[in-house]
Amino acid sequence: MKHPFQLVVSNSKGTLLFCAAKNTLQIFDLQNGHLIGSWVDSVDHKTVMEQQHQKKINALKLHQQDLAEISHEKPANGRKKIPKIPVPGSGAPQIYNYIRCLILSNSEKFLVITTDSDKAAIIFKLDYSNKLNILDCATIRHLFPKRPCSILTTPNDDFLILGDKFGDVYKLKIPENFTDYNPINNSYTLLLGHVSMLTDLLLWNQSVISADRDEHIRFSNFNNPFIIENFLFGHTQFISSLNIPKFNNNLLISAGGDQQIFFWNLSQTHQNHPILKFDIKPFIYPYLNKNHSIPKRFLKTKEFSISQIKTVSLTSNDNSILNLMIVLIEQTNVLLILKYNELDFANNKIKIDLFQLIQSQNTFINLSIINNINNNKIISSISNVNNDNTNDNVKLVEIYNFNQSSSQFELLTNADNIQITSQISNNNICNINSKKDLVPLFTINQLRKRSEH
Amino acid sequence: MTESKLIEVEAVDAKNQEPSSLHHKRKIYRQEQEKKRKVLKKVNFERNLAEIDINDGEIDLPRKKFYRQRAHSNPFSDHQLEYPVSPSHMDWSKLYPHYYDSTNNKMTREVTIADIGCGFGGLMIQLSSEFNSKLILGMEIRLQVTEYVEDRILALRTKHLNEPINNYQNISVLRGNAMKFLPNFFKKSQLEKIFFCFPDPHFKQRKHKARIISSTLLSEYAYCLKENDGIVYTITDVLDLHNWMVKHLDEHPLFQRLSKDWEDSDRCVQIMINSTEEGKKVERN
Repeated sequence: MKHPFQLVVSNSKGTLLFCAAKNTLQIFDLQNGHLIGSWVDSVDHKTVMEQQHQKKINALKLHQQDLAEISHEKPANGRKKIPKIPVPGSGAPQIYNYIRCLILSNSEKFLVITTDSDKAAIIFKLDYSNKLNILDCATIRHLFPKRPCSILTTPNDDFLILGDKFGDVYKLKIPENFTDYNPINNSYTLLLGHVSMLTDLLLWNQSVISADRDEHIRFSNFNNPFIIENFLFGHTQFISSLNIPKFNNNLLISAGGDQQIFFWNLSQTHQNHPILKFDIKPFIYPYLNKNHSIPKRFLKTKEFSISQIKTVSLTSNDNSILNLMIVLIEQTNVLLILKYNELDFANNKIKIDLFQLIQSQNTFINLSIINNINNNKIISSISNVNNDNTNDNVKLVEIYNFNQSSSQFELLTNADNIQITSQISNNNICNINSKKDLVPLFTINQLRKRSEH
Repeated sequence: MTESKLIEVEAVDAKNQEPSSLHHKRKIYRQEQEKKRKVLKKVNFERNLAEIDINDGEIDLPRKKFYRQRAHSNPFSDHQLEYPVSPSHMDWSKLYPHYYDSTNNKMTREVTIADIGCGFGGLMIQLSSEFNSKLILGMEIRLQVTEYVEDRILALRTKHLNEPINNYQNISVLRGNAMKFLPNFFKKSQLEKIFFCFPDPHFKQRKHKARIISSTLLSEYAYCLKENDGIVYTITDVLDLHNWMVKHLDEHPLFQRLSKDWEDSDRCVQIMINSTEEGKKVERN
């Protein structure tokens, strides 16, 4: 069977779709569904771990030799023991070889991914002229001390900003020349850190906005990142996604484990509480399923998390502007589309309404948006795993087009569009034997804290 | 994963049912202290102690042997901690009832001195009289140790209830993880002083990231401290840790080391050396 796409990103023109399926990276032409780029991460995490383990042992041996030389001490009992280093084994959490993050740089010249196998960020200098394989191009693979979990590029693509599982944010220079690249010379710098897993990063004006698993949204000065400018308070659960829409550069939308979507006015510099908390539980509750039940000893109700929020700006059939938010709740088959109304932003008066609820036959995994004048689409990767159908003709992608006359998003059902989605699904090079080989597709809800003492 | 956790919980319960004498005594003692604590927390200066039903008004200082807990607690774990959503949501009246103005529903002053990793509270007790007009908060991540300090402060407050100035009403403790949640408790530039006394050295290389002083955490401490007036105090008996802390503080652009002359003349430095439990141990040796 084919492995579903855990990540999908489209380019701004809406002509290409960049997908990650397990440890493969693939590019499809959105006009015909052809595969025009592919790359497989051949590094295996087991060998990497063994190498790292050996490195640590060697480093400790050297450290001990140095200490012995400095102190001229005789070891108390003959042989000096090397302190125990935990060996990853059967008790350790499982590590999968897969691509965790995928972004296109602002100019779309570069594609950046992070791999879980060796905690690396890989930058591809895309070769659009290569009609056979755009990904057959110059690449840089840069290792980091901890697993990266959030990435973005600066506005003029000169730096890659990366947040990791420990909470540190690094800055890596994207060089002009990829061929003479030497990782030792071009090292990353530590910008700032939380003591908590970073879940999302944004750049806004001169600040870095970082969100973590401990409900913090923090603003740090980009040029002097040791200066913390502000914290935004209000979340009571982890934050999974931050979004500043194009239709209002002073509005921050954040969501995660809370049942509400939070809206913040960034133009008021000392305001650190949300201007609105929009509860989505009433809209979503009917669509929660057994995947949202949790062990009885915690609570008796179902819980849900928001995994992604995307924003679009469209013109409706009466020529009015529609500013919409497309919300993906993890492991459901619905997309919640909300309309943003700005009554008086300076006085924090905004209103959110339900615009549309899209329901699919399949569970949504990840979304990407195309937002152009005549071309507005939601491209979603879907999961086919609940069907026992291991037939290769199962689709992995759904495309919803915004129909201007009806002012609604509609699943494209005409022959051409079905052809494109089937082509993409069939051309997916990532084949697996069974459901056991799937990588975790729904990991956002696991960020929720559950503690005993 | 779920299964193994269930077993853990059951094992703890089984332990509590053992009729072993110290365990049992400890449990009874702690339950009594819990009762006293709930009542005494609400006491403020004006209320008559006679209203409270406690063994003839006698409050004994708590005994450490009933509060034993292992020395290390992982600061990265998701403990079941209570922390406010934001500094303005924090209810300080429960910790400093004496300084709560009930007519206007607000505190008469803010916490300006923090003791991170306050341990058994030795430093705060000395600081209480030295800075009798300022509010001092201790933060400790270990549950039993926090309860010990709470009981100790309550006992001291009760003993000195009739004193107008040095009545220990200006010190308090809470269980918290300062590495993660300091900005939840304190507003920007709220604190004048932060103390880090004898922090856990985390000797092993791989544990260095758990040290309380690191370049990333220093930015958070700087945020909570007053610009130009805020001071970080550190003391340790481990040379490696001392060098580490000095190095990181020197390298951080927002901190500048104060001179030896300044150290010799500052009262807090003297108190820090002499009044903490560890400080006294070092003096003895």
